[in-house]
Amino acid sequence: MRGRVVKPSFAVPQNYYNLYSFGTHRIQLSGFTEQPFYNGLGRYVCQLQRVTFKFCKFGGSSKGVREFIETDVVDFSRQHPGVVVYLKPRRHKTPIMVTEYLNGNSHWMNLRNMTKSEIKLWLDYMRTRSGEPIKRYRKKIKTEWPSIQGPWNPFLNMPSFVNVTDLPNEQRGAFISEKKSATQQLLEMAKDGSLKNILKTNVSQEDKE
Amino acid sequence: MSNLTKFRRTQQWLTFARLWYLYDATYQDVFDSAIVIAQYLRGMNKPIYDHVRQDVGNHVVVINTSKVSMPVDEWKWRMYSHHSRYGGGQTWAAAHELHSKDPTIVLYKAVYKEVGSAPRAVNLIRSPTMARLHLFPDACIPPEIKANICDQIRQVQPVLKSLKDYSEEEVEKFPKIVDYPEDYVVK
Repeated sequence: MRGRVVKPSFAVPQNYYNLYSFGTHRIQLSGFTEQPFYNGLGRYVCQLQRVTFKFCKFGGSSKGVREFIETDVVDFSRQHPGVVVYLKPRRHKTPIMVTEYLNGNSHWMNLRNMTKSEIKLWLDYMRTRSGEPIKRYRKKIKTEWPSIQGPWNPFLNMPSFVNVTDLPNEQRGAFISEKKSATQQLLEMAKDGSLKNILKTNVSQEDKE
Repeated sequence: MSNLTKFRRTQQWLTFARLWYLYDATYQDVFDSAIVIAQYLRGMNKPIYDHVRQDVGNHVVVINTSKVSMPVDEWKWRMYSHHSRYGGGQTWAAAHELHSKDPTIVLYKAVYKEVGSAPRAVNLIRSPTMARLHLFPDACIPPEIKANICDQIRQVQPVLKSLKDYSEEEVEKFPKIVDYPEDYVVK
């Protein structure tokens, strides 16, 4: 059965291997900032829940991990009692570290040929993370209520008489000119009485008779 | 985690609601009207207008398209071509010929041009945009369409009145500032 991959029933869950949590996928993740905002209001809750070190007892690439375990892992565990530390020796394999967080995310990391101090720094970095994947922010702010006035709607500045009048309506639809036409000016002047020299032929003829 | 409540979901529907506008094309320039109608069709009158991602266009119901006007001799000089895809199958018709056959097609073609063709995004939503244009040659609108209309687009030019449109009273009462001299012979 060459070439056929049969996963054993005890296969490691897929989320152990996801690199999404570091944003290293070909297409980088994008989104809005998400944090456990309750954190620090009353007390601080460490978001890191579990660390698993997998290493080889003999291999050279695991040397740093072995040193770390000999000298620092007990101190780390005492300082952070909320974090479970698993140590899993396995023969002839590259050492790795899997960190699992409160929000369900987990992050897989290669520790090949790393020194003790490097591992310490990386572990400290992982411990202080929120567990959210590293992503490009689409916007620098995030709000659940973007507008206090309420969003615009198409009926916003529409005069209310439009609702009750029958369309087409001349008041609503007729063209409004910027300037007055000559006819309009003439009619207005005649109405005001400011136009003196009006000739009303029909009237004047009747008067003459 | 989203806070999309029933209220906010309804607010979203309200913001993106498509409005039905009425436009009376009586004595209106075809090409000037088409510019205005195309803006409403594409939703450019809205502040949320987005030419890339969103289609926020409105419906426009145009009445009296048989009464549209064209500048000076445009009815005579503007040619519309059609190709039947056979050899020698290209035919031309002047605007007035086309208008006499179908009183809505001149305005349709003018709006089709104004809706736009150059950017790809516009080209893709051209046919759904044109589907939201409802043209009627006279003032009769089907009741199912009339029930949707909620606003009116302002006309682009004044509707001119001829002497026949005025009553005799209005003609008599109109202020007269000059008169023919007594020896003037009216034809």
